[in-house]
Amino acid sequence: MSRLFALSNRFTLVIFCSTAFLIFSLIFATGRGNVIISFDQVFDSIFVCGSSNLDCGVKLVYQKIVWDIRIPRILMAFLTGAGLSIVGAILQSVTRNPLADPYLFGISSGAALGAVLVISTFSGVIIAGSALSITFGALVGGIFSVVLMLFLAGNASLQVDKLLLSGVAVSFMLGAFTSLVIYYSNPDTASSLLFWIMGSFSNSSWSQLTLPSITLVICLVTFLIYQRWISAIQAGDEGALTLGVPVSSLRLMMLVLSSILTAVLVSQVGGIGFVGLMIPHICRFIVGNQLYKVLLMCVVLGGSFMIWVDVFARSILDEQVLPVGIVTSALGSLFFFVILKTKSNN
Amino acid sequence: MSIQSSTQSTVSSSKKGADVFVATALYWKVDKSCILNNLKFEIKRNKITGVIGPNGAGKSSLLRCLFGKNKISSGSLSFNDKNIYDYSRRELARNIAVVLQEPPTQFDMDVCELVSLGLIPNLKFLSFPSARDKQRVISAIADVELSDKLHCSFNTLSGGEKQRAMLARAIVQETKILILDEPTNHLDIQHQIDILHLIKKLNITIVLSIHDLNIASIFCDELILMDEGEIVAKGFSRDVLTESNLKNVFKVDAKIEKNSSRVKQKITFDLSKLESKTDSIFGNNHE
Repeated sequence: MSRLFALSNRFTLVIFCSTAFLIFSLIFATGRGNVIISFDQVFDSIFVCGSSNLDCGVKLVYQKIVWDIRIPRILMAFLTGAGLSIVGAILQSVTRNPLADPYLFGISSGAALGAVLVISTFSGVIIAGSALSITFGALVGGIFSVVLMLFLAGNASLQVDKLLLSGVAVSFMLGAFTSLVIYYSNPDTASSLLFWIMGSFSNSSWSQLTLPSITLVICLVTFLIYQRWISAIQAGDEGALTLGVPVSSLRLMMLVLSSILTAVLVSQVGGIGFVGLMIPHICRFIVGNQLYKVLLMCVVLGGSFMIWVDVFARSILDEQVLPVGIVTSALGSLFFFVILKTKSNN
Repeated sequence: MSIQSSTQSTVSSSKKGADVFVATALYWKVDKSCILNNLKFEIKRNKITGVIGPNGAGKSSLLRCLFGKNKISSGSLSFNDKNIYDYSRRELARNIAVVLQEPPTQFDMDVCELVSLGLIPNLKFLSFPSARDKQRVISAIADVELSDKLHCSFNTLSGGEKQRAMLARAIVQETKILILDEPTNHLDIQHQIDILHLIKKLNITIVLSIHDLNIASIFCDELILMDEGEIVAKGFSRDVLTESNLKNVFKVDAKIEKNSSRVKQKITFDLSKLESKTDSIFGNNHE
């Protein structure tokens, strides 16, 4: 029993340290960018001045940058990293497939197609004006892809392998349509579309944070409520059934929730790959396989990771922001090389 | 070791009939092929019933009907005098524990986590395991003698240890019926004896499929002999394990030596065909 307590204490310590690192990341990232703001000015802007632009010893322009540009952007990065990571962890568990990720079921392709159709149909009007229409298009596209996948799988949607195959088919099909739309777009629209597809937090604003925040909280709470049942599925479908777990309906519910959260995130920030695949594996390595620990760790670590990726994307080139999806994909491939090398050595 | 909870309100506790399961004219079909064909049997309370037969006889399919996984095509299957499909999955899980042969999962769990899954049927929604629940998990792991492997990963355990861990999960479920699908598969003789000894000590209704006929004869109170989806014989081992039944079902000559004192029997198979084949192989090589 004492060993059990020692293990839970270890988890508490890990979560405490990771959260401290996350808070440090939030403050550090707020200071980085084209205009570098010192740590104490960031601290004062956030904790002393607040959002009401008081005269508190920090330049007004810095306060504006911190509150209107940097914090929404960093919070969006956090929500994206945390959201995609928990979705990855859940999908890997309910499909018992370590390579499952939020984009496996064609959600990204569907969202991209939706956004691309909106951008190309209304062309410059939308890009210059409201981002909400793009978001809406992507959201509809993402959910459409899930509906299409379930429709194609039909009765077989209760079986993991057929569901995966159906998802991959939808992903390629919608990907092909997206490419077709880009091919027939004018060059300016096409470059905007490509930049959107590669993922960016550049257009983040406070108003855009509401939907992802609410969706993330609802999904996380639901995942935590059902984590014991999901763990049973992770150990085997038939075994879970004998423990009274409604395997098929629970898997479907998790799939739909994951799809909605992914579609919401992708619609806001574009396609950011590998995070949902990579972070859950790192979390399992740190805290073990218990699902609630993995999920909580995914929120903290996934969020921190995406904040640092964004800092890197903003800092690596002068006067230019690198698409975040490029950085995550590069890091993701590096991660798998390291895993492969480590496993080969073992 | 006791796996029966005094506080738990199980369906079985309120019914005291002699038969736990009763099947009449039971058919189970997949597409158009009939896997289980017109079965009629009873499983007696607090007895050990062994399901025997050659590969593909329908043993596992029958067991899967008993815990509601396979929905029968026609006929009836009652559990505690009530149609088994009238029970919710959760009610069944509170009454019937099942130990299956499952492929190892890609996501490893440690023994403690795996055994804790047995708490699921009796945990209320949104509740956490109590101190008593945690103690039950530890005690079940101790019962199957895996205390030193409490935090070892399941995938690193030997075949026998995996079976014992799965049995501990079933013990934590605190049911009065335990179904096991070939619990001795891939185990050496010592581990076979160990696991069966553990199962016997539970002193509850047990239904298991088993391949070793000598062990089945000694271990089980009653046997069901199956072939090609049908029940060939059922009852006490002396009535089921006869030379003619074994010849018909397994297509092998067998000699039965009866032990009058324990009404158990020893089965010896005619392996001469194997010997002559071996001789011919060696003969060819030598030439």
